[in-house]
Amino acid sequence: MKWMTGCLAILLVGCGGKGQGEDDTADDGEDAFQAEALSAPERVIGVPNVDDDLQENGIDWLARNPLDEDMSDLVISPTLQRFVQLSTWRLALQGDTAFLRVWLDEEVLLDEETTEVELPWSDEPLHLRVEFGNSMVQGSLTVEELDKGGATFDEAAISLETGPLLLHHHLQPTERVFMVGPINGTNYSNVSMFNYLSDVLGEVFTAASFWTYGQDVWIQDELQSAYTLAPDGLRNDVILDSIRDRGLDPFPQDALQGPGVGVMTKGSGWANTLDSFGNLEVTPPVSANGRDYPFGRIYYGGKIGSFMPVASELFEFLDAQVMQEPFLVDSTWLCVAHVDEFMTFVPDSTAPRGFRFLYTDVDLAYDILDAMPGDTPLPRYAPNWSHGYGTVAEIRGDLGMRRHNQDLQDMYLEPILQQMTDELGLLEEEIVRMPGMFERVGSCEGYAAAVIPGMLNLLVANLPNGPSHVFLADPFVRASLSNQAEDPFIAEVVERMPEELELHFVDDFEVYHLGLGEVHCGTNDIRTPTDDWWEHADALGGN
Amino acid sequence: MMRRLCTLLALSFAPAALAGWQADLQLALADCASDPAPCEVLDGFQAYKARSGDLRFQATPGMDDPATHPMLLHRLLQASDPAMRLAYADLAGRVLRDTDPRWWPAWAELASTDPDHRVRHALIVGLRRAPIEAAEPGLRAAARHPEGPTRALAVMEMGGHAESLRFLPDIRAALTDAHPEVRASAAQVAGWLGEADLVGDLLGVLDDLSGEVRGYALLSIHRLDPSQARAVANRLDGDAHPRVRAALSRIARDRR
Repeated sequence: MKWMTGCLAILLVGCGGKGQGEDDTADDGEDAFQAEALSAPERVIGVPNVDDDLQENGIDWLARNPLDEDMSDLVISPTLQRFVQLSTWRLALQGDTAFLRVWLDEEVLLDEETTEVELPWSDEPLHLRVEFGNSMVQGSLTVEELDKGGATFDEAAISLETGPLLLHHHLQPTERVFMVGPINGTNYSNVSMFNYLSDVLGEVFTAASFWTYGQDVWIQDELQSAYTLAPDGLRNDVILDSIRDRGLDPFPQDALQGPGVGVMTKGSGWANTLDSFGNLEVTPPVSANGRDYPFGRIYYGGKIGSFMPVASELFEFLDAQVMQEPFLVDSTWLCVAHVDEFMTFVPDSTAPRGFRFLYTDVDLAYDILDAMPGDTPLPRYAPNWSHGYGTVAEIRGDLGMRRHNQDLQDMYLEPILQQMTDELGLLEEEIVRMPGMFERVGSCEGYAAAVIPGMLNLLVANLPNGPSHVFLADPFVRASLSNQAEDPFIAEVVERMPEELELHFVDDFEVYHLGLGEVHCGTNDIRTPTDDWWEHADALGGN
Repeated sequence: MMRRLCTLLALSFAPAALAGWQADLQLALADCASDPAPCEVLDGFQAYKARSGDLRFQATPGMDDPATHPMLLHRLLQASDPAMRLAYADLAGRVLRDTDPRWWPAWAELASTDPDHRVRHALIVGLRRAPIEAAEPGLRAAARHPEGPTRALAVMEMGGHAESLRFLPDIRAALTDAHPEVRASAAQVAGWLGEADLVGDLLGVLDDLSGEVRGYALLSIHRLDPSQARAVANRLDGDAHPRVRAALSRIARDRR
């Protein structure tokens, strides 16, 4: 029937309307007339309207604001012909209607409750706007032109879509970096690291107040920036706000939520350490096992059946975004149990896929220690409240710690490296082993934390039109605290890192390292999207 | 100053029949009246929330002075907030390696008697690096604790101690403990001792119900006698437990 109606429409337009090349001006005494078939775009791609244009600490979608700028225009041009008198538009909304709204002027025309509507037909184009309330929305709008008898004259189906919510990865340009401070307490200071980052990053750097945010320095753990894109430059960022809810809990709303930036929390409950977002990381773009991941893959830590994030809803949500298909690695051998503690990715334009994967190797750390003069003093490690190792001989001579580290390498680190290789299709030349080692922490029932400041727990800042800066923890494996040139750990890391990176070894010892975190844990960032998801439909599973 | 006065006031009402380290503690705290400086060192420190979420005293200069340790012990005993008690125990675990021998019995006792398992465990981890005179009674007592995880941690720290061979009989016995965590600890640290005699014991637990035990036993056999590990590896070829797979991979890497 539709086929017949469509043919009839073509026939009528073709016969009665103006044909191609026909001269309107020949019809003396009559208005110029241009026959047209019903036309509408096949596809409207939008962004979820989850930012806060109204700046009321809310989600715009819930505000039903007709003036909101995050809607997508949809223009439907009517059939123009002279043979059948059309009287009615019939519009029907299908699919994920809970997250779809169609507006006409300043009124909601269609939504979850009103999925079908009829309007008086006119020969003027119908200017609608489509509002989306979530990512990964799939819906459609069917538009029919009805004649006076109620029969369908022509119709069009328009796909209404939003894409996935995507998390940033380390190859993308950095727009903003966040850090709490400056903190200038006695024996608890991050001033050196704070000033260093501020100087290098300039206007990209944003400070959060230590006192306003409940002395919570772990800004990596509170929020994860993400983004949604649509054609014509539409972009809405989303700050995922962890259920961790420590002192920094209000920071995303206070400092980030606003036009173009929404804040959302997925999941609920009494958070455990795995709900922190240092335990939610993203690889660069990879292909593995016959599948492309043009936006990278999400990885996070836990262990099925024993210790998992409480916010399971978050991971279900991220899984439903399809493109960055999350996978779990076992991080439960660590005290803090975050994946950012022992592996990361850095840019390298000379690498096959533009990145190197940095991975902790305890044997490498011991090789360096074993090659050092045993009587080298270690002033940063010497006090018992620090690590209680006064010299290199003492730290390398702690055989219990050495055996424990060897076991960690064999029982956890090597299997996880194999898993990462399998999941990401890592090439041998992409993997760069870096020195790192762990100790057993008393307050953590003997679970592991970095004994030498974890240098892979780092911040990558790709400044626009500038180099990639990498901020790493100063390991302080040397006698002179001020002379980084004599630190063999720094020398080894510099040697192994891509040459194009600007490396900055910063002092994170008092506030972060002794608090069981490092540079990455104490910073966070927002980045610029670098690719359009709709150009990678295959990565959405054939959609 | 106020805190010191309160301490002295509390001590004046304390039962008089204390003996051993508790009596020593009373005497040490009484010394605060004549030399308050060591007793006030802790007042200058704030515990911050570590990334793990636990309160932690981070940089605490002065706490390396053993004269400050009685007050730390006192605070641990007096505090009622579990988070603060854990912070005190964690700090104690870090500094007790250089504590005055008068306090060894205190730390050793609390490591197995404190009602809060996290306090016990922080002290047990600290005892690993304590002088053997403190570590031996403390870890042995903890290894007899009714709770399996406490026993498991004690066995682990026995294996990591500089004089771990002193604990060889304890570790060997722990291989047959009723709790799988204890057996896994024992299987793991058995490989750290360098005693080939333990291979026979480890072969006996390769059929353990716990994959952790099987995996660590195989790894430890590999550490003690690689040829024996290669010979028995095929017994576990079909074992899917991740720790067994990891141990098999380790053996295979060496073979290559």
